[in-house]
Amino acid sequence: MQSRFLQEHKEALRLLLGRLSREYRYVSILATDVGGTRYQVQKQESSVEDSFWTERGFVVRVHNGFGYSEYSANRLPGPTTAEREAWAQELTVSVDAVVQAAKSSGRSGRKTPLIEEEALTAVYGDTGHSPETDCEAVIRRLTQLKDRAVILSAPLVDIRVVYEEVRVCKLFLSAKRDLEQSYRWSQGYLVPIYRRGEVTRYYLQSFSGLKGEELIGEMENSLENTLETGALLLDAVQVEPGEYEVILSPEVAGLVAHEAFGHGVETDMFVKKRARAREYLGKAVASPGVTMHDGARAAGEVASYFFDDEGTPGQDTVIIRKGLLEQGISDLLSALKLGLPPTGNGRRESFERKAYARMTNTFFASGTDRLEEMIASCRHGYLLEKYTSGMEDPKNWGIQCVILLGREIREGKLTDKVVSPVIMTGYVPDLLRSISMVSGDLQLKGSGMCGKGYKEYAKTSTGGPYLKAKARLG
Amino acid sequence: MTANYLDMLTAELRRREKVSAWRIRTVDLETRELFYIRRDLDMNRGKAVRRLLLTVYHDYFSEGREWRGAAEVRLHPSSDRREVSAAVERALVAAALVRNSPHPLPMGGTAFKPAVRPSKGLGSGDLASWQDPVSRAVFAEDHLDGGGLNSCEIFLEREQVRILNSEDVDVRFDRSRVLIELIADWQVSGREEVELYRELRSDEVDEKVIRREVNELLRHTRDRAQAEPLSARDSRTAPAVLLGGEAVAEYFSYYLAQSAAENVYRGISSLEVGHSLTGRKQKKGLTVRLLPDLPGSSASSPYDADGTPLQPVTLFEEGILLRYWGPVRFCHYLGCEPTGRLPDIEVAAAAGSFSAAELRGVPHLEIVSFSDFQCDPLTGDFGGEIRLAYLGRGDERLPVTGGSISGNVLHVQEAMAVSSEQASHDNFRGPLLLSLEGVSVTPASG
Repeated sequence: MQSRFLQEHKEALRLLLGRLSREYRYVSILATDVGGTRYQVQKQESSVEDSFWTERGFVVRVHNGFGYSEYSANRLPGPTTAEREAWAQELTVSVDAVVQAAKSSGRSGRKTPLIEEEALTAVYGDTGHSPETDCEAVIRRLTQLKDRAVILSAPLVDIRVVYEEVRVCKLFLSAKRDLEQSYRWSQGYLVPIYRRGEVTRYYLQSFSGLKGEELIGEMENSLENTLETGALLLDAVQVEPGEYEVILSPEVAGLVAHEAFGHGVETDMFVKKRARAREYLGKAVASPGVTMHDGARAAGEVASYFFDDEGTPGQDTVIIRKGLLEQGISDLLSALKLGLPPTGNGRRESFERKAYARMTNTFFASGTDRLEEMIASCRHGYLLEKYTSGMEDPKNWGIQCVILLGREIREGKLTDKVVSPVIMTGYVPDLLRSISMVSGDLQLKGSGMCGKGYKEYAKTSTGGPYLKAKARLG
Repeated sequence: MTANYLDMLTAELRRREKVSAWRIRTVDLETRELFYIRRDLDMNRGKAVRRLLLTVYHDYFSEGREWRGAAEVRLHPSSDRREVSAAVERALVAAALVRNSPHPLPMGGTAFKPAVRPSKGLGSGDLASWQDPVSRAVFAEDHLDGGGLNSCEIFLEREQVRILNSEDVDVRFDRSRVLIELIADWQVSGREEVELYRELRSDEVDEKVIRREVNELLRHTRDRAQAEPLSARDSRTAPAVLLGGEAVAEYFSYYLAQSAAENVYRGISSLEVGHSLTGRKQKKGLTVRLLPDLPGSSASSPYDADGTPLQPVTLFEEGILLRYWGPVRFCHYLGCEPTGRLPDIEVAAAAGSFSAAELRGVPHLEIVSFSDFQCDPLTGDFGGEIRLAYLGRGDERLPVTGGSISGNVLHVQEAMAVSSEQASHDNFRGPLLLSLEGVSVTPASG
């Protein structure tokens, strides 16, 4: 379903594009209308609010003579010609002021080439009418989940049952492009919180996809297992620091893909010479069994779109093929500076923020091994199942993953011992070169969000098969 | 436009009988943003946006008791009457399904005590006029051999906030923020180039502070370039772990979360008033205060998001929890006086506490830069990968890198100690050093 808001204002945005094109050699406008609702039910309270991802506005980009300047705003004109003319005039003055500030900054700008686009006009996504979400049914089902959890789990002090759905509508206009897209995604969480004496523990089971309310059905089916696994954390112990054989679940494998060679091949980092991966293109960075993808068209998950926030179509990029680093992921401006083709990875947190080279759906490809064989092959190690966060270090190839739940493996068998939390650290090539087994599974999840450094959040999905490797745990 | 829009919205709210109460928060945000690679301007941006957040409350009776439901919607500044009406209706439908115990909203009128905040920040002139002074300050210290600033992002922000509710609260205030993200890199002959990250946040441009922070970042990056990997032997021989900088604020965030009214109400925290947060080592306990205003803080605010006027609150005194803190709703549930959501934190050691020199006087590992140090506000688990630390043994101070630490606040607080010297980081003013024992240290190798 395309956005009525964007359709109503498309003519005004075209008028602004025309005005600015008299002055600037390249002009583009990205307009967004993203709306959604987050429903949360807890033991003693509930809430309904607009999604964090809600946004409505536009960003203008112009070539200022040596580089690019941008202006973001969210005020749009009324329907009359006079209102539109006055608005376009006012916006032109605002954009000119930003360009003037760049020119008078007293610091020579880096020369960024002019964007040369091929003509493309398209409307992507679901153009029909989507049914309205039944708010009452959603709240009722989430409340039932909470009530069942309270009955099923004695040590539970609270549980957060969350469902969120978002509809994304975007319009991209430039001299040669007129693109529209619309799609819907959803995510859900079960977060049981346990307490015994002074010990508090929580677990997180997440759900996501290009879906609607059917996601709640997945949450309902997973409740018992989530509560049972989460309660194990009350007896979790700290891991003895050291290097271990580890089996990474698809979820943790996805985190490694994301932090290790996702951030590490964002080509705006190549431009700044902040990514060591630039020196390793064509070289071995992982064991031969490792292939890794990123792309808006590489999988059907929450980061699957038709064009990025710079009007470049999404694609499936193979980053690592059979252990060799093949290529990076690029936004439009970094690609121009590096003389590379853009890969459709230019993304913004919202229309209010700058576009950077960002990941989309990032995952390791599946192999042929079986999880049972992988466990059987470990003398002493851990099956790392869940994580809470990760942090990249593209320059020095360090990695930090905070693991929420690990299960001990001894002599080829899982024991009852559970460790939590675990800090997994290491040198990325060492970790990836140590991958010795890759399972035939492939699962992606997109319930988290990704920051660029410590800000600029974007919706991404990650995943992979089970991977056997060696890692340092603490 | 604002007056007409708000008039339209409040009229819409008042005409609906099922709207029991409401709150509106508007923010007019203006920014200028500079993105540098080395000393060259790579891109600049400007922004002028209006954000409107509406909360609708609906009181109802069901299953033998009263409830107050609420729903929040974001409104668009260019919405017409039809769209505003639809948004209010959507919020009202949702609020009627939400089950929360009744609670009041902050009251305006004669009982309302307006907060006072000294005017500072970026003033009311052209934001662009701050671009050159800030850029000059950032690059003033960037003249060393072997390394320098790789890249830098500067955000100058100014916002006008207005909060209204159905109980006659109508407050306005201005805020400014300067955010500077710095990446420095350094190479020592025969070794790989390294980098470190630092983010500065403030409500004003203080050239001296910017220069000092850049200088320290460059020195740390140089030291990381010379650092050896943290070995198993070194990790064993340093019984004390010293934390500085933002990690200290992150560590103390656990105590703030545990004393927050909402977490006590939810049963997540069992911290009781009168409980002590410090153990045997820090004999004279810590005093923790929450403040609406702290010099340099980018978070300072005279009112919280509900429109509650904020006043300084002493949370812990000499280590003893005096009270819970939080917004009107959760304090009402617990039957305690609401403090509002205070944005700034001050942690102070009592007189006669340890000096930084005393804490550094024993073998220690002083960590000055992590990949991402985190302390879980619910469980107390903390940890992070080390990007730069110093091994202190007698007069020796050796830079090391790699490896990680992990621990739990509840396990280490008995032997926690802080320095009497203070340092500030954005909305936190607290000990220059925090000393912990019994922390698990994982080496980078060996």
